[in-house]
Amino acid sequence: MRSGQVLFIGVAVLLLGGAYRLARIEQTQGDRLRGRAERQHTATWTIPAQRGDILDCRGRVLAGTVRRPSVFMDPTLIDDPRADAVSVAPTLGIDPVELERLIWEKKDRAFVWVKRGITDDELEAFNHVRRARRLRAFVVRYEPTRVYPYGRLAAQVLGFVGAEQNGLAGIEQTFNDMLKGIDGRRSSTVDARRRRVRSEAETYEPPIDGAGVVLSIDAHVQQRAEYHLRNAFEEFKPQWATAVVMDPLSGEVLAMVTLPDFDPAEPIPPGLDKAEQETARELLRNRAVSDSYEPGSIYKPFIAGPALGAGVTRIDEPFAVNGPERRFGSRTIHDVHAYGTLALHQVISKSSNIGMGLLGARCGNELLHEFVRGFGFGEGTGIRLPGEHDGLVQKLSRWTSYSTQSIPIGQEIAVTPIQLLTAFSVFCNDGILYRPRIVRGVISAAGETNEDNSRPIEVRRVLAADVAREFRLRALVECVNEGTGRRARIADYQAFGKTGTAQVARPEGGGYVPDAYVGSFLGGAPAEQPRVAVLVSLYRPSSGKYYGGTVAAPAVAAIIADTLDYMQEPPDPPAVGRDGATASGTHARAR
Amino acid sequence: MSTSCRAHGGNQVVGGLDAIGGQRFDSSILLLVGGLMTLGAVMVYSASVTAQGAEFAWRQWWNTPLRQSVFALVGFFAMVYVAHLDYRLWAWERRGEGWWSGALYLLAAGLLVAMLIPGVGTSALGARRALVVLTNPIPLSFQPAEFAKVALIVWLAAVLTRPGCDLTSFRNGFAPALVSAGILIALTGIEDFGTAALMGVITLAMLLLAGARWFHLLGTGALGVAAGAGLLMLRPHRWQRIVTFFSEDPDTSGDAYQVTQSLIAIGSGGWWGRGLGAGVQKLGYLPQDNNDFIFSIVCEEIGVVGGLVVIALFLLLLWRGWRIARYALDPFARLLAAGVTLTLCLQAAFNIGVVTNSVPTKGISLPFVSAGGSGVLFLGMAAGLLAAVGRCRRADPL
Repeated sequence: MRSGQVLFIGVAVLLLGGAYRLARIEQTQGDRLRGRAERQHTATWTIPAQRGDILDCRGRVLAGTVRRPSVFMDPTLIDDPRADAVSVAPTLGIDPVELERLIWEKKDRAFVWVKRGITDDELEAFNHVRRARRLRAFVVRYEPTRVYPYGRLAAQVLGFVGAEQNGLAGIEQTFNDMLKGIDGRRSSTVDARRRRVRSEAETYEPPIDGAGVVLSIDAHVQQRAEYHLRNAFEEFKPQWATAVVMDPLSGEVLAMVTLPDFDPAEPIPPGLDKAEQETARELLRNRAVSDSYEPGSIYKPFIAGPALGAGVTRIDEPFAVNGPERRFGSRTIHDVHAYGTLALHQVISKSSNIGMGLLGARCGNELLHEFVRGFGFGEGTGIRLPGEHDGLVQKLSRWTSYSTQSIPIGQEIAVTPIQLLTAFSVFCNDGILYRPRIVRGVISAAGETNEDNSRPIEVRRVLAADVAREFRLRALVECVNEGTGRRARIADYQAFGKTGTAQVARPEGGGYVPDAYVGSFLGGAPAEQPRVAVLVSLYRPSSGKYYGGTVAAPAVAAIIADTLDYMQEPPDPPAVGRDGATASGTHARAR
Repeated sequence: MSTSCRAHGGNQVVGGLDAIGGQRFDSSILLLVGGLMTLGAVMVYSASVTAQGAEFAWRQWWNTPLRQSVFALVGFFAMVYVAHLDYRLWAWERRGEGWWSGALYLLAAGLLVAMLIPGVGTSALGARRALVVLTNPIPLSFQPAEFAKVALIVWLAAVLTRPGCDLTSFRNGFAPALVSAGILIALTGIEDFGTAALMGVITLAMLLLAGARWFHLLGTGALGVAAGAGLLMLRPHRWQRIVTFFSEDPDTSGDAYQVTQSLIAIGSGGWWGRGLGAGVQKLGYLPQDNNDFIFSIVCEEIGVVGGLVVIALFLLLLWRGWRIARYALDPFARLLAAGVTLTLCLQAAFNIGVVTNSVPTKGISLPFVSAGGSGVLFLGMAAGLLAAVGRCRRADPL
């Protein structure tokens, strides 16, 4: 049996070779193979963190996240596509034939959306059918969806989120990191078709929900401001219009409106062509911070005020205007009416360009530039909204002899609405420039205060208290009571303010666009102790009327009246009742 | 060890059935095979578990957990039954005998031909390998190749030890055995190359053991390789397997995927395994997990140590089989015992070679452990023959 011995030993060697090979695999490749097994057996799922809310100053939810039910299916579990399609489709309002086709098409996928975002009624009907017919393959999944309970209210301030729930504009964008929180993670063993095998997770990191952002915006004030601005918008048909309401004692923005607006839940509606998309994208701009324009006459207080403070002039100093036109060097300045002699407060209330030209000449460029920079023009206010524009203020070295008369009447510079209102607040709060704030704080999901922004931030004192007060009570009140801003009078409170009608500078420079104006009004009340300051600007009204005192002042008055009423400010009717006061009051009350 | 059928002076004992019944049977074979079958039933049960399948259904239940246990029990009792029979029933000791082994041969050939008839055979994985026995109430099919494998051993043992057989003569001894074996192998090889190759090797081994001439065997071996190459070409996918095995850059689909997943299963188990039932590769990652690649699942769940235990069991089987063959009473018994032992252990070595990526994928199962009734039943019967031969032993080994 020698040959037999050889054969048996041969087979034994083969088996031992197998054993050796086995041990070698474990020894040399064991770790690598274990790593591969780990990778292919483990799947990781993200547990989305709930995005934080955006609240108004009274805790009303301006932007929130709900879990919206959606239905998906696992076609691999479907035995009878036709029967299932016929059962499910009607409950979700979709075509059974279409659903059956989808099932066949995705037969070997384990996850296919059937319908995303279903209504409560559809959910109820679907659940009923699912239970009755035991449709294991169809499952409801709840997806986070951003909702804006007030619809379009403050759309440009709030911004919106993209498909991945990341903020792409407004507060949603600037505070995205805090709002979105930190996603959790769960990993588990899965079979070859990526289905979970063991019910308990192998690793679990809970999500940390996003923090809530509390705004200084008050939804009620915002609504009233929007209502009155919309009335003006529809009457005077500007390209766009903005209204900003501020608490001048703290710099908090109570309302910020831009029209036309958009729906933050669907900023760019589907199915638009390229041009329409471009138009829709224009609506997303928060004009109150991102657009600047030449302010025109509305700028006059920001020269006259500090000129008083600097002792260059007195509030009742007479200026020999002798209009309606006057030459300054090679340049001629015009007034609308021919005035003789005007005291400084009348130069403001009647908005005399020649008077301002004379004042400018007395100050000189250097002092004028100081005044401009003192109010913070030419630099961002730091309001923490995306896309804030700095405005345009040329360096002093580039100012010419023209500038001496241009700057005092609000030309050769560009300002944003928020800069104007912030600077105007200096007259309301007796001289202090505050940084405008729209975010009061950030509160974590656990209720801790992450960021407290509720205290006023003083930038600098611009005017002495008595100078600011004197200018407000003499010049700005007079403007409303008997000057260009008479339509801003309010029945129950003494208002003050300044009109502005600016020409629109050519974007490429050099002159102005013909018949294109920005009508604005800056106003506040009560004059004795102001509680609210408002700016309304209408950019290029097309109804034929464009004077700031006509198109913007009534809206400002109405907004102030509503806001003070809401703040329960005790009525303090103006001492001087004049013709038109009653009419204006009626307008304000009309709502 | 007491035996009544003691051999006389190393000569062949010729007697009736009574003369053979001294020791009831070789219990070591039954224990080893029983152990492998039990392991098989447990591992196939484990490998059949899927992530789904919580619902009870008779068909499903039959398809997965219960079936292999039933097969193992049937196989075990078939083995015990065959071990009780007189193995000389199959021998060809006098002129004019050999009916039983001849009938076995013809039955095997007939079943193999029947399988090739479209509609009778059922196909799985691109090969027609099974005959349907039942569809209701439970699906049951039968693999003729498993039967042919055992029939060939019995046939060869009988025909090579028949009276007047002179293996030194090509015409009288060598050629008839070779041709008859070749026909069976060819019929098997049409659909099942792996089994055919195994049968070819076993045929050569038995010819060698029976005393055939070296140069006859060498010539036959060369012919066998040529025939094997022809059978490989018959199905393009077989050739692909060979190419895949030797290619430098294995693609991750198809055959290479299977072997890669097999290695991952072996490697991820480590020395002691993930624990019985805790394997993950069986959840759709490793195709053929309860069949040809059951050894990978063994390694994943009870570790390399478990795999080594399985190999050790086959080595013990080899050793016991070798002893039985050496102490066998007559040449037929010796050849039968050697043939069965070599078949079982060589098939195991092949399978482990495939699973550990040492030889190309062949579609060869692990005896007694892999899922499947035909394999367990007929290999169990073959082991029974081995045990039956072991019941009688001569004093001095040959």
